[in-house]
Amino acid sequence: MILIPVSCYNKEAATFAKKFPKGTASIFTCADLAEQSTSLYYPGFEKSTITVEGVTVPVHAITGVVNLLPMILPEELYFFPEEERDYQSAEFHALLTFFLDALPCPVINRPCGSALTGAFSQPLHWVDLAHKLNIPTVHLMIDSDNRANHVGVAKPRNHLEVVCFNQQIISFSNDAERNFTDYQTQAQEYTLQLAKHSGSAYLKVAFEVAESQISMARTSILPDMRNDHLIQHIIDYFQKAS
Amino acid sequence: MILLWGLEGDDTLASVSNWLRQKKASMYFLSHAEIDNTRMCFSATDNKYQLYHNGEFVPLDNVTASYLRPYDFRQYPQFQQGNDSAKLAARAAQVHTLMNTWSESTHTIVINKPSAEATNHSKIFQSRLIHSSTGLMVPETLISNDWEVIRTFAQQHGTLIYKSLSCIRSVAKRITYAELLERCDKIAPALFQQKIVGTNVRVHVVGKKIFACGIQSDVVDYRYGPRVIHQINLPADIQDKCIMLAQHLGLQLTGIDFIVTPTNEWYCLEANPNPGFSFYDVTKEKVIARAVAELLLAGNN
Repeated sequence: MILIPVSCYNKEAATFAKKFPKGTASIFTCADLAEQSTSLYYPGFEKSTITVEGVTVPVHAITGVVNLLPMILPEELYFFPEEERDYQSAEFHALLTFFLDALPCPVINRPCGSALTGAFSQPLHWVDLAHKLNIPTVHLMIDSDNRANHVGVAKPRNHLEVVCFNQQIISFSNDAERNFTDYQTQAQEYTLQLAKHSGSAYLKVAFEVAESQISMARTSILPDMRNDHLIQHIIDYFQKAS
Repeated sequence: MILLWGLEGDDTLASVSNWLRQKKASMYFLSHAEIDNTRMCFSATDNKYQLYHNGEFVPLDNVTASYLRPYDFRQYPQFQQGNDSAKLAARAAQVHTLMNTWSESTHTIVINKPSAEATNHSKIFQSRLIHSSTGLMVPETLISNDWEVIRTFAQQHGTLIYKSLSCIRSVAKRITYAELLERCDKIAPALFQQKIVGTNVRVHVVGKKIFACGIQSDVVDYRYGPRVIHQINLPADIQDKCIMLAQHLGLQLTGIDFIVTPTNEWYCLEANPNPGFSFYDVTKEKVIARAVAELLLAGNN
């Protein structure tokens, strides 16, 4: 079984699950964890079970995970009284961090202590990693006194995007009006470095082109549900791994 | 310059600050209570962070080591009332984000980097790291919302302990098999743990220095009841494993909790990444605080 943890508010997830071979992928929400039988052990994780679509699933039956749940907001836990949701969101985060990390199958992306879907939870950590790897970043100023800056990295102009999966470049796309293929090799190299040093199985990086140079502008570690090419790579990867 | 970020009333931070003062260290105390008067900026162009406190520029380039003990600012009065409280909270959250990313990016000593502290956000995630990285024994643990499964687990282990899964502070409680038989209410997945009977031991690792104490108490969670704390010597293999664990987790300072059984089995309960060690620093000279101060000073040299 391929497990797809998602927010209960994610309307595209069911369509995404149907792109996998029939009956192999199931979406999984916090409501499944809370309202059906869940039993996770440590030591002895191999004895653990969860319930998916009403069926008890031993953890060894899970052959891959596409993790589309970057955080657990209190709103996700609508089935708890409102006053409990803040506390329970930390509890569910803790539970899922352990569960997704302990699974022996491939997890895209495997969590770490600070982020449920990979290495970093903050855009600025990507900027820091880029600096450590000598990868140029877009000009960015953040000031705690200026709320307009709080979102972090803005949407780049004149951009190109590179998608990396399992240390392979699987797609490269240009800004619709410009052709930046001259920068393709450099962008791909930067993306591979960022994926390797962040430990990300899946990574999409958007670069801005300005003054004959590319600069990292944005990253995404949530697999793109509309990218059929990516999905085929994920299916092949899970099949090989199992 | 050594940067201290926390609350003036915090005994742990104050004990380190006292030692730094005795050693005539250059330090800057950044009051977390004044987070609404703290400003941080970051420019990706030159990869520089700038810190201002009460309008004064604090040169982060001069910081050689830092000890960060921030709190949940939402508990402070200025964030709980008034029309601007949401705006103030968003601003304070941004100061936290920028302090976190600065502390991750700096090459100086930080007690502790937020990414290293984060392993404690999930107790069972950390338990797995503890066991896999050091071989230390950890209690048998079950996360479940299924009373039948919980009762079966209790039949194997007798009385259980239940507590929160996350780092949100909670009081660990005992639950017996007889009590479990009466339960059929709907619950969220909760953490149940084999109750290990023995003596509580707290080990503080400061760099490569070790400080251990035993705690005698009759209550499950000794923080909330009468107790006697006394210094002890650790077996050499446990000392080595504690240092190995702190290094594996990337923690310069950690408080590791053990229970030692009458048959001398050492069970590791957790590694606290931001320990309030003054509670355990029972010697007159405050040896743990001195070791923390010396670690910070080592970054200064």
